[in-house]
Amino acid sequence: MGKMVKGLKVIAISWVISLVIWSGCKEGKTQANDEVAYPRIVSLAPSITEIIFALGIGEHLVGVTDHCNYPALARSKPKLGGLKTIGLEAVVSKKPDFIFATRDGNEPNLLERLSQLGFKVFSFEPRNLEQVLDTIISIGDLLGAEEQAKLLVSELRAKQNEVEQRLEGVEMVSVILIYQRSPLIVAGSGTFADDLIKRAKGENLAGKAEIPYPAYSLEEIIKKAPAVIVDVSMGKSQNAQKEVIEFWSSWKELPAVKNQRIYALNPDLITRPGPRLFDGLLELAQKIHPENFKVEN
Amino acid sequence: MKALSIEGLGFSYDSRQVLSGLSFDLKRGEIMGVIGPNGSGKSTLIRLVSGVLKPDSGKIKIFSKEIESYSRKELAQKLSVIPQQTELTFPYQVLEVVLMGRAPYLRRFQLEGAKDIKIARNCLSQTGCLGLESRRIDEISGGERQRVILAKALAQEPEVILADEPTAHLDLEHQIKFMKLISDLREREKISVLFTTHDLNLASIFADRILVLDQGRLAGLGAPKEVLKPELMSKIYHLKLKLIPGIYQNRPMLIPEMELSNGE
Amino acid sequence: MAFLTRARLLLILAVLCGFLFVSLLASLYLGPVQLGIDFSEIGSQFWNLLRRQELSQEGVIVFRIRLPRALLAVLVGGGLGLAGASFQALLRNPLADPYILGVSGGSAFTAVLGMIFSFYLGFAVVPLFAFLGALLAIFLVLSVARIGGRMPVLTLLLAGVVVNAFFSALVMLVLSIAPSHHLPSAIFWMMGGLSPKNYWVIGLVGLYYLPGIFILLGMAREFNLFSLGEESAEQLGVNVEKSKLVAFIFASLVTAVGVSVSGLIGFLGLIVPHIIRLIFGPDHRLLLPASFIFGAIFLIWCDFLARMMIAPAELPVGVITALLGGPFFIWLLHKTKEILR
Repeated sequence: MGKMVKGLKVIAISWVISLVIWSGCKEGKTQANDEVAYPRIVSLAPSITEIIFALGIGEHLVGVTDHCNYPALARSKPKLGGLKTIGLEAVVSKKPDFIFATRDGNEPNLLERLSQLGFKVFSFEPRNLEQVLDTIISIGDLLGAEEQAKLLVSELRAKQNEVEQRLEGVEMVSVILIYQRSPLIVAGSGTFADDLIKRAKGENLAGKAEIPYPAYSLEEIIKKAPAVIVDVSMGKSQNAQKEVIEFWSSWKELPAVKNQRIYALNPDLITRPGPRLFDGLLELAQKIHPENFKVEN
Repeated sequence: MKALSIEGLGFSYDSRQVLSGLSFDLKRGEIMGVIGPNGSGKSTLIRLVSGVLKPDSGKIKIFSKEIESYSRKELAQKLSVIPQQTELTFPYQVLEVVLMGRAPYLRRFQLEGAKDIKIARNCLSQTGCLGLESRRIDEISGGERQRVILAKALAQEPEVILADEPTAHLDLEHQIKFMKLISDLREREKISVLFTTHDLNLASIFADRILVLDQGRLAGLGAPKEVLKPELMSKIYHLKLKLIPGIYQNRPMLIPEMELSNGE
Repeated sequence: MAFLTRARLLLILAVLCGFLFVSLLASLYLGPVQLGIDFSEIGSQFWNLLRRQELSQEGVIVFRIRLPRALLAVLVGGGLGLAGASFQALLRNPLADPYILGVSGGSAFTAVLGMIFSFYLGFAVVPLFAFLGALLAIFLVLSVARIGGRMPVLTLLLAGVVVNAFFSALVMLVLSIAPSHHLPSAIFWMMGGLSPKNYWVIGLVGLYYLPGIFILLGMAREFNLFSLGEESAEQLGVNVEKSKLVAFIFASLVTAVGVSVSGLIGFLGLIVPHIIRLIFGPDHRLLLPASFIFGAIFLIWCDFLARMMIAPAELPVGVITALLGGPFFIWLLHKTKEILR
């Protein structure tokens, strides 16, 4: 707990600093970036943007994607396009010293071309919690933020350990996580959600098949009868939980409905391979095994 | 020298014998009409002589040279064809269409020159179409179009013209005009003409000789008055025909004998 | 409208080339990033480019991003325009486009496979795979449509439709069971776009285009004669079956090269020949080179829109050509109705 408070303090201070610097640069849209200190960073994935902000060096970002919406500061950074529609000229005009991307999300041609033009392009493909931590360390090393990276990693590990400690010896509970309603797509094996569910001592009933995003029919879900259903299709709106419960309540055959174990969740917490994945772990654990998290906090 | 010399021509299509054992000559400067019922092989004959189809048996000689010994372009310089109907995928102008007739004389990247244009215009004036030069081919009437196609055929400077039912879609005025044009061309340029038709009487008026095909075989060959006899024609067309003798220079005309239901 | 003389041909082509040159310059100057005009600066940057020396930021944008892209647009747009006109002549059908005879389906299928396996083989395989897929489709269409040395146009069309349908089904199958992060890549590829390439690749692409362009331009007279019908063309001295085969193979190859570098840019090959035909008439000796040049101009401007509409993000250029396609068809239908009246 002490570690968490310390981590929060660091993040808060970095945020204030970023805010101060940023407000100082508010006049003039394109020129502002010329005043950003070395290194100038372009992030071509929301998860990486989050990592960079979490490392406390968000003020060095000179370009992000349209989808980079967390933390709030990220939204005011110059936009370079969507994941697949990044403008090459826009990236080049920001004169980045580092370009971070993901091989899956971004267009390989674009990354190739940026390398050919002499820019330093680094791609990361974390596939589970452990690899997210490795990514954080790698980015930290590249940007001269090793200390912050180690700090962030230890905080995130702390979160992880907290969850694992609370769940020690707990029985597995069957879960299905739903990405979207029509067509009905669930989290299969190989997804982050699957990894998190396992760590949250949940049994992912859709995790047996090798397909990461299988389309299930409603009957399939009814047949599998998970004890818990987590539905992220409604995004992060206030009404998500209400809407989700309302939708599933018509399927009274489901044990999850009978026992009121239907939960909404912010999809960004379980799809972005960044620091918030650990928040996702915590939230999933709290929903799957609420009795183990009843203490204060 | 004979313009065309056909010996023992045979052709089958899908195991159906369309033509067999056909032999005849076309003299230089002669107009020959080919008549016969549907399926008698008239169109096939035209396509064989123009080189589009290859015969199964027999020989086709054009000016005493076998047809195989001509290259496609050489053949196109000797012989031009007027089909029943011409496709019109794109809206070319009349002059452009006629200039296509000069293709056999031009190399791959060569454009038509002043000489070609002169020839094309000449052919248009011969067929009475000079005023149509800049009109689009899809905007003129059927009769005018057929004459433009004739002009194109003439632009090839052929010595033989093959025409497959050239008047089939023309009204009476244009039928007569067209055939008169053919006759004039024969007079002036000594072009030999082989045409097929369903119209016995048109053939009778305009052809020097008539060739009768029945089920792919030669059923008659000679001057109209020798060939257009009721007995022969009735057998071939399965109709009773009545002869109206020599209205035009001993050229007979045949009309069907029929009982009309209102008892006339 | 006069018929074609050498003077008229050269004049029209020269004017079109003038427009192309202006369009090229415009596409270098205009873009999501504002540039100042400084001609001496541009000159020295160009000189630096030739000497392979380092460029200023503006130099990079103009000469290493915009110029290659413009050159690619010229090649691909020109190729599609030329191929479209050739297919319309070959099939004697004004609704034909370069993808109609199987190339789109075949190349889409193998491109998607390439994307999925690019993890192991590197992303450079995708253009190669796409090209091979196009070749496969061409081969299949030929085997189905060629009977006894003849290739009837109707059979050719049907074979193309069948091959396209077959491969499209395979694409759907592959996309539904593949890991889903490939889906956006596949979709963007199928929309068609001028993704960044370096000069070496562009030069290679140009080389691959050259024989096809040359041969198709040389078939202008045959295409004119085809319009009268195959038998009429044969009777005017054209070796119709051989010409059809050559036209089909080379028009498909030209299309395949474009598809392998830029995906399936739609509608261009259909619209461009129609516009040229409308203004200048159907004579292929003008239509073919003009379709190439105008296709290049058309794609440069469509790509300009693709770069600017949601700047700084870039749309796939196929989106723009498709947006133009709909209104074009409405207009074409309107015009056809007028003619039929």
